[in-house]
Amino acid sequence: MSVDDSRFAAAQRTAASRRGTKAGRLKAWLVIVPTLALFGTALVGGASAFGKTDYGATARKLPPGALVLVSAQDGGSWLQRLTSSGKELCAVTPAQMTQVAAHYDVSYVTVTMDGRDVRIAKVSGTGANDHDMRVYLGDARLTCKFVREGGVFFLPFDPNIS
Amino acid sequence: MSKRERAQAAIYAGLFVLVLTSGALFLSQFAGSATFWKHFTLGYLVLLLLYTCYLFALLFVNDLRPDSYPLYAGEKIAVLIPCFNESPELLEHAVRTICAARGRKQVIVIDDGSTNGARGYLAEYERRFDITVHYFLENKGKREALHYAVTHLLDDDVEFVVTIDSDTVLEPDALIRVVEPLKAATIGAATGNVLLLNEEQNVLTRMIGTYYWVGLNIYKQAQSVIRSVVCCSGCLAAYRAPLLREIIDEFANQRFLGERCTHSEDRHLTNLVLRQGYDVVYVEDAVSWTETPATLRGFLRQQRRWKRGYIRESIYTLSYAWRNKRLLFMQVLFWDLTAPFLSFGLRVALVVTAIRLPALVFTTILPSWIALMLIRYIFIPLRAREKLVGLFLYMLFYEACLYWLNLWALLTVKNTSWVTRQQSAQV
Repeated sequence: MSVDDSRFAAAQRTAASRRGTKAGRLKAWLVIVPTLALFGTALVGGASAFGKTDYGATARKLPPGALVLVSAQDGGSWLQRLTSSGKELCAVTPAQMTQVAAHYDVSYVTVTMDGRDVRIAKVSGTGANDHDMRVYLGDARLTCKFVREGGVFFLPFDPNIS
Repeated sequence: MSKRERAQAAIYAGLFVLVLTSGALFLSQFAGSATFWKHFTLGYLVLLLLYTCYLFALLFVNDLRPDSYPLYAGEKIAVLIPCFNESPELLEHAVRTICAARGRKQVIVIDDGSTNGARGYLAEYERRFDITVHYFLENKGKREALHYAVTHLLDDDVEFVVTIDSDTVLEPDALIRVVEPLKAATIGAATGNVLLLNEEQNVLTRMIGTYYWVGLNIYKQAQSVIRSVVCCSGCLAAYRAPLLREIIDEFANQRFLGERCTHSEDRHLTNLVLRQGYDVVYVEDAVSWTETPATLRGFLRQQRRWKRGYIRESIYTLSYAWRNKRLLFMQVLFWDLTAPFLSFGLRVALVVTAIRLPALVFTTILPSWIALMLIRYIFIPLRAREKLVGLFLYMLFYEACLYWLNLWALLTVKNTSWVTRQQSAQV
């Protein structure tokens, strides 16, 4: 259709029935309101978790034992590494825990998991990473999991209608 | 410098402070503590949520109680068509459809110093159609054209003045639909719906078609509920004639930070109406058709000009709206004007994240971004499903390019060049 034709066609049109019925428009709000509520919850929930490390979720994936928090050095999939806080939580036996406490600088944090308080030993100083700790404890099969960090990965988009 | 000009300069400076603060907060997370940055992010998102709820509430009110206005009863309407180097075919079509449109009319064409031989064909149209044509010897700009028409050419018995662009096509009842709200004593101006003649031309025009749809059916519609539409589009706008006569001198002589203003005259005229305490509404059923730039270069030029006008006129709004349009004042202060600059740090953070962790772009950023986009613009999947692809493209384009144009516009807000009017009529 040439420009002239489309102009001619436009000049013949009328606005009749462009809006739709009032009932039809109001019905849409049955979808809009719950979606907006979900949006609000996701937005504020996601933002308040921003930067927080989720020890509880990580600990649940580990076998029973004492928990030690170390820096992540290697291992894991690329996605795990990209979305982790750069730390790993490892499950050790009580005997290994004694060894760790004797070798590293250790401080403790308490987190709530499934309604009960769980103590985590945070190790620091030279060699406070999963690789060196495995070597030190002589346990290559020590189970460690990446600790995920909450992030806000969306845009504050709003096209200005100017 | 008047008190209003000093206030405008202070608000303008404040926008730079916002950008710098947002950037500094982003950097603060690398200087030891991320506390300020986290609180800022949370605060911004709460603001985004509140604004979205506010917008949706207004749209709900509109669906629940759509506006209805008194019927047109033969009042005289003056139609002003400023033109500059418009093609004979397009102008003839515009004039013909306006003359054929319903309503008692005085049609005035002001040739703004065209250099494409317009005198010849305009003289011919003057013989063929019932129109008045006035010629400027040199290009003076749209403001001067409107000013001259209102002060020298309007018939005394004109009650409403409608301004349209020279490449606009009106639907047959658009003229009377757009002036009907003006029969209510409190309404000073009204603007109509704008559809694109060339929306199907290419990917860019489809994207722009969505941009127009969102602008009109979400933003302008919501503004209409609080009777404070901030821009009566140059494509189709109606004003009370006595009100226009009152404000037209000030309109023609607008200055910002000492510079004479040339573009975004439609927004300023609307601002002046709102400042006088009148309401401004949007009429969805008053439909005009226009063409949009079909090239990226043309669109970006137009956007540069519009964004400068957006900043300048939003600042102007803040200088008066607290007295008579408080909801509008709050809306402009807490979102419309400030959000693009407040979010500067967040956008830099996103770019940095995307560069440092490119895998996240596809696994996390893009999916959550699309989900949130569909929620914030839920009216598109519900009411204009055919524009979904255009919405997606537009949002990507906005984040990658148009957002950053806001910063450029902030730096160059005093620039007065029209840019797209060099060769032909404005788009």
